[in-house]
Amino acid sequence: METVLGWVCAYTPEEVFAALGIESFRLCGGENQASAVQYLPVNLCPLARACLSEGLDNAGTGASLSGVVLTASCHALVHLANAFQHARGGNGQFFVHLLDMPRTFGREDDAACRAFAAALRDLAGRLGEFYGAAWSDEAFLTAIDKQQQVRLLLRELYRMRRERPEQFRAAGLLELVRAAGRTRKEELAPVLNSLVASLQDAGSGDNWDSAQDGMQDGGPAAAVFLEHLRRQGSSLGPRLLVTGNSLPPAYFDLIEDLGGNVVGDDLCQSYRYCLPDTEQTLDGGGRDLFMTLARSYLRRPACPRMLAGAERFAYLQALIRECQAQGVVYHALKFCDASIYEYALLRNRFMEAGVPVLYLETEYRDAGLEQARTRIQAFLEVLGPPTEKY
Amino acid sequence: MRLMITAGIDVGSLSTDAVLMRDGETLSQIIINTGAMARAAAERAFELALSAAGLQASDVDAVIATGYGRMSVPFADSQVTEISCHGRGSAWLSPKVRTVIDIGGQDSKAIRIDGKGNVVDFLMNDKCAAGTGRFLEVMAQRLELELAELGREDQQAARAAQISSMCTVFAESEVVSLIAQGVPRPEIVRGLHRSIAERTAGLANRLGLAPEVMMTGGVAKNPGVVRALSEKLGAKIILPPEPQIVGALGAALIAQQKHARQSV
Amino acid sequence: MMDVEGFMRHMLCDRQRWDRVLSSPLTYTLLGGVLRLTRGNWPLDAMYQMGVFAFNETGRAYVGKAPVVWSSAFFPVELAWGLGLCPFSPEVAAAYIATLGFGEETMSMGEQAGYSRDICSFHRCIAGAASAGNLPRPAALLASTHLCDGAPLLFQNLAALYGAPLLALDIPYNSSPEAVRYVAGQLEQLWLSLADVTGQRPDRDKLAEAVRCSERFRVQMQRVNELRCRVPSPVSGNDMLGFVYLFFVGQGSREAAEIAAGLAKEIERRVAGLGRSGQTGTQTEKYRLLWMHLKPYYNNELMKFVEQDGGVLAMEEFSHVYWTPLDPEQPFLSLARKTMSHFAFKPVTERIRVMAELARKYRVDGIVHFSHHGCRTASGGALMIKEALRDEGWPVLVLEGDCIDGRNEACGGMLTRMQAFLEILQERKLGCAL
Repeated sequence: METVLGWVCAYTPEEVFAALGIESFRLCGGENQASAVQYLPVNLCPLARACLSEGLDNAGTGASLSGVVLTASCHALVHLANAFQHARGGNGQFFVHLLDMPRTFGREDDAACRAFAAALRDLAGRLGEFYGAAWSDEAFLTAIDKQQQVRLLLRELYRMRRERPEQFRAAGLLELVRAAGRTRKEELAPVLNSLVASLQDAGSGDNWDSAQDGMQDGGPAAAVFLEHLRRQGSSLGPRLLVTGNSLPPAYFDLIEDLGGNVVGDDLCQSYRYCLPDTEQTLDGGGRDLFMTLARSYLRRPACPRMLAGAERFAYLQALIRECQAQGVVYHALKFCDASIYEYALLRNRFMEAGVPVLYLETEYRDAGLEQARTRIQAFLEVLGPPTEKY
Repeated sequence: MRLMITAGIDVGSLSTDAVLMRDGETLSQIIINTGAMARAAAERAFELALSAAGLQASDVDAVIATGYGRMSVPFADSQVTEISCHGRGSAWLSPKVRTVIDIGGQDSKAIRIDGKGNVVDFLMNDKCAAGTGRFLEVMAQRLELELAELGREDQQAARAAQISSMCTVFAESEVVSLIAQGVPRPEIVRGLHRSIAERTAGLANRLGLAPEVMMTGGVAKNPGVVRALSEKLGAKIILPPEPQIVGALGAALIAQQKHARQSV
Repeated sequence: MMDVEGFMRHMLCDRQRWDRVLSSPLTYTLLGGVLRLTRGNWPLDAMYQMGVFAFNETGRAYVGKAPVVWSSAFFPVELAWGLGLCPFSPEVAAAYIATLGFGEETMSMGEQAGYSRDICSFHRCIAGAASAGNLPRPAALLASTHLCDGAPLLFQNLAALYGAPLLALDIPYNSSPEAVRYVAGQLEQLWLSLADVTGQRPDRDKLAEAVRCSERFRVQMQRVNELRCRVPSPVSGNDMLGFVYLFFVGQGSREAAEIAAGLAKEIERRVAGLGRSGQTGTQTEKYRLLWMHLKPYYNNELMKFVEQDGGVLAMEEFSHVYWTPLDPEQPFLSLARKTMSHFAFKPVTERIRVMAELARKYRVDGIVHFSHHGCRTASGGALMIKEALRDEGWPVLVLEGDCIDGRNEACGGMLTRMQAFLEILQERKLGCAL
C-alpha cells in the first residue's frame, strides 16, 4: 500500500513536502468518526475527530499514512497530533509533527515571519531525516512554482464561478480543491489547464456539453472533474458568501438545491487553499526561500484563528463586494472556538453594515442536513423571492 | 449460628427492586414501579420481599440501598452506587463475566470487573436519552407498540431501516418519516435496535471490552437489542435470568460481605 | 453567622445596582470589616490574607484607583505588576459570580450576546457580565495563547466592545532557542505597548522587582508543595485550589510573595504539630487523590462529598510549580521560558509524565481528571491520559462536569461517578468488600 504524509490546515506548506519528494495527503474527514472515539472526547472539534478516523482507517482510499504534519492552530489539532502519536506512534515508525504557525494579529510582523521560517526549516530537516530525503533548494523552488501554478488555475475556476454561479456546482469546486491536496501538482496542472481552457470557451450552460466534448490533454480525470463541477439544474437565486469553518460538500449541494448560489467563500478546504501568493521577496540580499514562503503564507488574509479581528471583517466586506454577495452563510463547527467566538463578534458588525447573515452550526456530518435545510430555506426566502429552477 | 440475611434495595427512576439473600441464596426478589415517591417505593418493595420470604424486618441483618434514589432509603444501613452493585451482582451470577453493560430507563453504563466482582473501571451515559430505555419508550409509542412487543416485531424484519440520527428527538422525526414512506414496522424496529446498540457499543468500546460480557437492566429483556448489540460488539452476551434485579442482588451481596467483615 | 459570601450576596442582591455597589469604596470598607470578623473561620490564615488581597485589588479595579488591565489565566502578569497597573482576572470573577449564585443568569446574558453553550462557561459568564457592564473597564486586555484558545478569542471580542487594545502573546508549541527569543521579543514589545497604552513609564527596575517578587512566590509555593508531601496531608487540597487566584493574578506582586511565605510557615507549624491519628484538621484521610484541572464553583456539593467520604486532595495539577528560577536581570527571557515550559502545551505524554510523578510523590490512591466542558486543552487529552496512567497502575476517573454551569448536573450523575470511583479505591485499599 502506498504511504502518504497526512495534513489538515490550509497553511500547511505542501511545497516543503514536494521539495523532499514526499507524497502528501490532505485529511478532510468524512462521515465516519467511529475510530476517533477511543482517543478524542465527543466534545472536541468534529473535524479533528473525522480526520483522525480517516487517518486511522487508511484514508479510505487505500493509502496508508506514514505520518502527519499538523499545524498548532488550536488545541483540537494539538490533540489530534497527540491522538495520532498515541494510536500509531509507538514504534517510532510513524511521523508526527506539530508545525508552529504564528498568529498574525492582523499585522505584518518580522519576528513572526522569522519564527515561521525557522519552524518551516525545522520541519524540512525533520522530514528529511525521517524519510531519508535530501534537501535541495532547486527542488524547493520548483515545488513553490508548481504550487503557485495550481493555485492560479484554481483561482481562475473560482472567478468563473463568481461570474456564472448558476452553472457551477460549489461542492464540485470543493471536491476539486480537496483532490488538489492529494495530488502531485505536476500531474494536476495539466488537468486544471484543460478544465480552465474548456470552461473559458463555454460561455453559457448550453456550451458545457461542448466543453466536455472539447476537452484535451486533461485525460479522464479532467472529464470527471468537469462532470462534478457542473451544476444540475440552475438558479438565479440569491448570491451567497460562505465563511467560517469547513463545511462538507453535501451542504453546498443543499444550498443550491434550495435555489441559492454560492458566489464566493472563505473556507479552509475551499478558496483559502488557493489564496494568492505574494511576490517573492528578498531577505537581506540573500534569497531565503523559507523566509519567502513564511511571509507569503502569513500575508494571506487571516482566518478566524489568527486573532485578526478588525482586519478579518474588512476582508470579508471586501469579498462580499467583490463577489456581489447578497448574504453570508457563517458556518461554525460545533466545539470550534475560533468560529464560535468569531461569529459572536461578526454578527453585530454584519448587522450594522446591513448584511444578512445565516448562522449554521453542524457537527461536520451529513446527519445535520435536515436541520440545515429549514434554516437555509428560510434565509433564502428572506433574501429574495423564491426563484424557478429549470 | 444463624446464617446472615441481607437485603438490597435498588431505587431506579422507573422501577424499584428488592432482593433478600441468606448466605448466598436468594430468598425473594421483587420489582415494582417507583412511581412518584422513592422512599415509599423502597419501603413497599422491602415489605413485599419480606412477606414473599416469610420474614420480618428484624430478621434482616443489613440493608444496602443503591440506584438513583439510594439517598431516599432511611432504613438502609448504607448506600452504594449501582455501578458497584451491578458489578458484584453480575460476577455472582456468572463468574466469568468481566464486562457488564447496563441499559436502564434513563441511563446506560459499561462496567469492567475483575475476577472477584470488584469494579475496575466504568463509563456512564446519563446526559442523553439515546442509548437508554427512554429512547425505545419514545419510539415504541410512536410505532404504537408496547415495549415488550419490540423484540417480537424485530424478529419479523427482513432487513433494518437506516436510522442515522444520534439524538432521540431527531430519530423520532426519522421514524415518522419512515412510517410515512411505508417502510414496514419490523424494519423500523430493527433499525432502532441497531441504533441503540451502536450507542451502547460506543460506550463499551470506549471503556474497553473484555469477555465475557453480561447485559443487565430492563432493556436486556429485549432480544432484538441483545442481538443487535452482540453483533455490533462481535461478542457473545450473557443474560441473567432476571436482568432488572442485578443491582439489588449486588447490593444484598455487598451487604453480606460488609456485614461479615464488621462482625469479625 | 455572617460570612464573606453571604455578605457579598446581600450587597449584590439587586443586579441593577451592581455597578454602584462595586464601584463604591464603602463596599470594600465593609468587606474588609467582614473579613476581619470572620478571620478565625478560615482553615488557613493565608486564605484570609489572600481574601484581603483579592478584595483590595477588586476594589482598586472597580473604584478606579489604577489603570485596570484584564489578564487571562496563564498570562505572565508580572508585566502588569511591574508597571504599577491593576491586573484583573475576569475568569476569577466568573468563578466568584458562580459561587455567589449569579452564574446562571450571567451565562444566559452571555448566550444572548451570541455565545454558544458549547464554549467554556467561564467565558460565557464573562461575556454576559461584560454585556451588562458589571466588569471594570480595562485599559488593555492581556492574553496568551498557549493554554486556552477561548480566552484570546473572547478578549479579542471584548477589546472591540471596550475600545481597548488586545495585547496577546503568541506562544509556540515547539521549544528552541529561536522560539524562546521570539517569545521574549514579544514580551518586551508587549510591555512597552502596555506602558504606552496605560500612560506608565516602562521602568526596568520596577519590572525587575516584580520578577523578584514572582521568584519569591515560586520558591515559597515550592516549599509548600514539599511540605504537603506527607501522609496524612497537612492541608486540604480543596482549600489549596483557592490559591489559583495567586497563580493567575498575583505573580509579580509583593503581596502574593508574602502570602505564599505565610502559607509555607503555617503549614510548617501544622506539620510539626500533626498527630499520628491520620487527622487533618477535622477530617479523617481515607483516600488520597491527585486532582487535575479545577472544580465546580457553582456549588460545593462535589468537594464536600469527596471530603466527607474521607477523600483528600493530596495534590492538584494547578498547584504544581513547573517552572525554573526567574532572573530579574533577564525578565523577558525568564518569563518566556516560564510560559513555554508549561507541561500542558507539550505532547500529552509530558502532562502524563508530570502527573505520574506527582501521583508517586504524593502517594495517591487515585487520580481524578475534572473535565470541564468546553476546555479543549485539558479535556481533549483526557482519554489518552486516563489510558496511559491506568497502564501505569493508577485508577483514574475522568469526571465530566462544568466549573461554572451547573444546569446539567440536576440528576446527580457527577456525584454517582465520584462515589463509584471512591468505592473502587476502597476495594483496592482494603482488598475486600465495601
